[in-house]
Amino acid sequence: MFYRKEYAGKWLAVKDEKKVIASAESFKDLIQQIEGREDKEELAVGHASKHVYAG
Amino acid sequence: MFMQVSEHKFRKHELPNGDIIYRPEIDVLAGFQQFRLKIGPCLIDSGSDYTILPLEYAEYFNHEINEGNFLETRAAGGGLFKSYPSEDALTFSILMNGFRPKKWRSNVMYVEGQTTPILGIIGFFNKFDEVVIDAARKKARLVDK
Repeated sequence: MFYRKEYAGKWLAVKDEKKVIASAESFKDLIQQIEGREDKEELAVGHASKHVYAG
Repeated sequence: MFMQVSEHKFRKHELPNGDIIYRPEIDVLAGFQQFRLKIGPCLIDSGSDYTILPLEYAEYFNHEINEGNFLETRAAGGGLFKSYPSEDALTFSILMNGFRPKKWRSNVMYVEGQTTPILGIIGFFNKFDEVVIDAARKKARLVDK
């Protein structure tokens, strides 16, 4: 789920590598959404890329 | 000698043109003082000299960026961008498939507009005895002796 096109360009908090718990346009907004959650340290915070990489 | 070996499946991505690829990516738990955050996915990339995080994480870890202290960094394709060294080391840890978590400390480079965290030579590869990118099995193998 993390890699679907609909999430491209968004910041995501993901549990177990696939379950999207929260999404936001900005990092700050995402952090605000997950602060205070008991499972916060289980959530991977990252950006869903919409780019092709070479490097 | 006790050796810890951990395997991590590549993660599937759909590119804008519809191609499906698998990248060697893992999540890492990063911390500084009272701030802790699991960051992911992070790309395991031997082509990067440093471990690189987007600037957004500097703000989270309360690391100040000195705009005059940067390293000109060249990307594949020739583009130049500025990398800002973290003022302090972060503590990293990853799960090692049933073993105790692997922990290490490293400074990182923060970059603007770089949205994929990169685990590079300094700060990742130099913390393990082996980092194997097993393309045939679509797995990254980390060895810690």
